[in-house]
Amino acid sequence: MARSSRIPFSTDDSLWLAIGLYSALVLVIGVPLAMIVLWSFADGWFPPALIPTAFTLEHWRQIVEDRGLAEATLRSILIATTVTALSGVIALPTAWAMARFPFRMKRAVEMFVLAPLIVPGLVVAVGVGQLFLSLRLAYTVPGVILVQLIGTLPLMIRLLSASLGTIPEDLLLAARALGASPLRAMLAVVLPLSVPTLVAGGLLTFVESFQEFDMSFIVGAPLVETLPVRLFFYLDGSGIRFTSAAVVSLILLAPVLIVFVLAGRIMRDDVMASGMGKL
Amino acid sequence: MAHLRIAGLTKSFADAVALHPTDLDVEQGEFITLLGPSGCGKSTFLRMLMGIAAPSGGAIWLAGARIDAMPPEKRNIAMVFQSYALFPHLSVLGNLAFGLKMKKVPKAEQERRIAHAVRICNLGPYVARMPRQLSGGQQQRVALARAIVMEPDLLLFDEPLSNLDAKLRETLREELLTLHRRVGGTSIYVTHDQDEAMSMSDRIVVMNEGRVVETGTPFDLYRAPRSRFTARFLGRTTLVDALAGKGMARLPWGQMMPIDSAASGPVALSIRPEDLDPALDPDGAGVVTGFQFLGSAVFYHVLAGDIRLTASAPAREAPIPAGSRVALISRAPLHVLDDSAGAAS
Repeated sequence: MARSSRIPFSTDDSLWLAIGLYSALVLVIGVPLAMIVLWSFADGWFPPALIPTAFTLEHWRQIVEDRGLAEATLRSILIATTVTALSGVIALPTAWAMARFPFRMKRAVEMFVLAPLIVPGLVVAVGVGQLFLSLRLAYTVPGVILVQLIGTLPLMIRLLSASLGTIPEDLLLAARALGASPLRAMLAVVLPLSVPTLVAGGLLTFVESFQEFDMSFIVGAPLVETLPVRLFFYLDGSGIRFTSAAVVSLILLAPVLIVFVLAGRIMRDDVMASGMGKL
Repeated sequence: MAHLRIAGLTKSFADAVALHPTDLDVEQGEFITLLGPSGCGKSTFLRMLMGIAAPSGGAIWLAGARIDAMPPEKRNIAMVFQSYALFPHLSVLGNLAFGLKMKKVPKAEQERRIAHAVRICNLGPYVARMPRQLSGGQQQRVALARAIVMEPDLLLFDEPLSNLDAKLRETLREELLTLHRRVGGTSIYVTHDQDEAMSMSDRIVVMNEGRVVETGTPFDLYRAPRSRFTARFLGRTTLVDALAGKGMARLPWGQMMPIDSAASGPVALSIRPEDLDPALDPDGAGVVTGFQFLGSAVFYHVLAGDIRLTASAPAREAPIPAGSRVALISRAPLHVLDDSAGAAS
């Protein structure tokens, strides 16, 4: 039988592709989100009803009136911001070294840096918890920040070392020849060229830190409560309460959405354009 | 003392010597080309001048100061890269101002120098553009302007035209030379392109295998090279063994021709295409095996005895067909190479 020789995914297919992709989007993200929103307002929802039979603001009131929640939110924002900033500051030189210099045992160092991506946070936190106790870092904000860094650094280093590797050597030599010391060449050339990657990595780091539970719980709770830790108390062990769970999920989702929308606007106009040119 | 003096400059690695001890004096305002095949040591030489490779030995003086131990940012040397190396996150203006900011040149002086460079490099319409919005030739002009604003004691060029197409290369070659004269700076230009070297330089430094083979004006190196390497690398030539005496030489195919030396005994001759005029002659010593029409001249491949030669004739005459017998008439005394000993293989 003759095979059709047309090129797949040409512009002729755009309509079907669009329909397919948008349906997938609705199915994977839209439907669960709608379910969560409905649940958060539901006052009784039993099969076979397609939407809740009655609505209430009771679940929202309960959680919003919790005074500890606002405090936990602020604390989480502070921690996530600090973790993001520190990840960038620590990852940049590390990634630079990994991308630029051949050194002995490079492979081993890379594996070591990336290991936390593979090891579950719970394992790390339990191991680190003992150490933090003796260092008096347990149950402190710096302790939580440090333990979260273990989880966020590998990604940042990975992203940065990939992008730093693409900066041509000649650019640095040109900067040196034009009178820049090695440090100023880094600040005036390498740093601006890394901004898109730093923003992308920063976003992922912020989200990861903001939503992180295991390690923050083990190192911080009960004295230092981040938003997820606080919210998870609403999901106590006696049974799954869909209504509370829905409110918690929505609260956790909000800041993340805000950060992404904001960053999307800033990046498109300004940063992406300047950094991603003909390197 | 010369503007740039290089004495015994050496670079060696654990297992190899990249540059044997090299001396070179360059006067203020000279345009010097380092010419050689890739791997001849010219890039190493340039990197040491710029300060990004440390010499294993020797010294460099520039404008009266010894600079070989200085980091690149302390040397007043600017460089134009083969890849242009424009900063992609800065506009043309930002690129031009970069070095001036790094060297903390006063604002008014910055503006004066940038305006000057923009004018002489014809960059007026492009100052606000980003490098990626410029063509290759425009990018190269920005790179050049960025170097000129530094008013360097020495301007280095690392094969700056080799990423451009042939036509543009020729135009920029002339622009570059005009600029060099206007700015009056001292320039060292690295290339493997002999046409570039010959058409631009005051002097050419021919390099091979980590050594300077020969230094001289383009005319001297082309007409009267001392070494086989220079003769072969600059333009076309056929190296022929001959027996010399009394200003004449007996060529392998039996003919006698005048030479430019009083040497006697076995010598090696460099025969350029323009040295020999092929003339149709049924009793001639050579047979035309083919020709190359170049527009301004015709190059004939001639077999004389067992030697393959190239002879040239003006293109206004109809080409001599392949297979014809020709006599070879010498237009000028043939050049005798210095290192004549041994076979001219």
